Amino acid sequence: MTATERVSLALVWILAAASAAFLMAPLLVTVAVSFGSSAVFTLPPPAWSTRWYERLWASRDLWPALWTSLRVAGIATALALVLGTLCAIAVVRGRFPGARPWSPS
Amino acid sequence: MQALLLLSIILPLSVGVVVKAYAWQIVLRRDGVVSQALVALGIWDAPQRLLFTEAGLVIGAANVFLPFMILPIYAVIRLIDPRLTEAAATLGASPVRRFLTVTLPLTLPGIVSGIAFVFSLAVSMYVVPSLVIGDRYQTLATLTGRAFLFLRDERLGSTTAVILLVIAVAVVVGSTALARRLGGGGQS
Repeated sequence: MTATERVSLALVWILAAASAAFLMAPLLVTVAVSFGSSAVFTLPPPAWSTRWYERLWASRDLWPALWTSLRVAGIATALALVLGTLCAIAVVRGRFPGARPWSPS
Repeated sequence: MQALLLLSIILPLSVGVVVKAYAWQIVLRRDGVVSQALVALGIWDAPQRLLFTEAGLVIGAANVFLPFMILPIYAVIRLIDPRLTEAAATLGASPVRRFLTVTLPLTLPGIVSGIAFVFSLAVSMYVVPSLVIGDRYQTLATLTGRAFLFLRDERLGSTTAVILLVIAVAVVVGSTALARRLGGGGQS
């Protein structure tokens, strides 16, 4: 490996790590807030606690909502899988005008 | 390591836009992490808020839509035969030349779908601008949302939605045409 290749590889990894950190930032904030003890939306939380989880656990809204989410997501994924596969086959194999918008010709 | 990177692309997709926009509200506040970091680095003299600014909206939007650019490009790059760049290397092409004449033209379809995805989503985003810049500025999409949700003026909403649609279609068609012209020389 030449020096240029090593440098560019290092740059690629730094950029990838920075992008991953950028993508994960809102998730980390959300997790931190959910485990915080503060009653207002703030970061960093004054102390760590699981009080919001305990409150959600005690809530009667949790289980119906969770079940609806899982059911809808599951059915939608199955539907999208079938329709998406058929659609992708049609786009790649089909012979109709506009079937291959990105064909290099 | 690669699996970890891929996870960091997929995982944010499972968190709702509302949650992410609120998370950015905390980060972009005057006493938020970004402001504190920029002051500590000496780039800013005093803490400023990025929340309710256009820069903040761009940061939030780029964050929400980044996976939709990465995934199509990733899918295409994975399928490129590595022997092609190796062949170019044996023929004496420099790394830059290999990238520009082999990898980039073969990646164009992925780039075009990425642009189409991200631009259409970004031009029509409603939740992120509502929560990050509020009522300070209107984007055409928040105007559309307001027309439907608050003003109950469906005709205004439909009209602005059609304008957005035309813009999105123009960008998709334009980037496809550009990709075809650029890719036409390298591959056939």
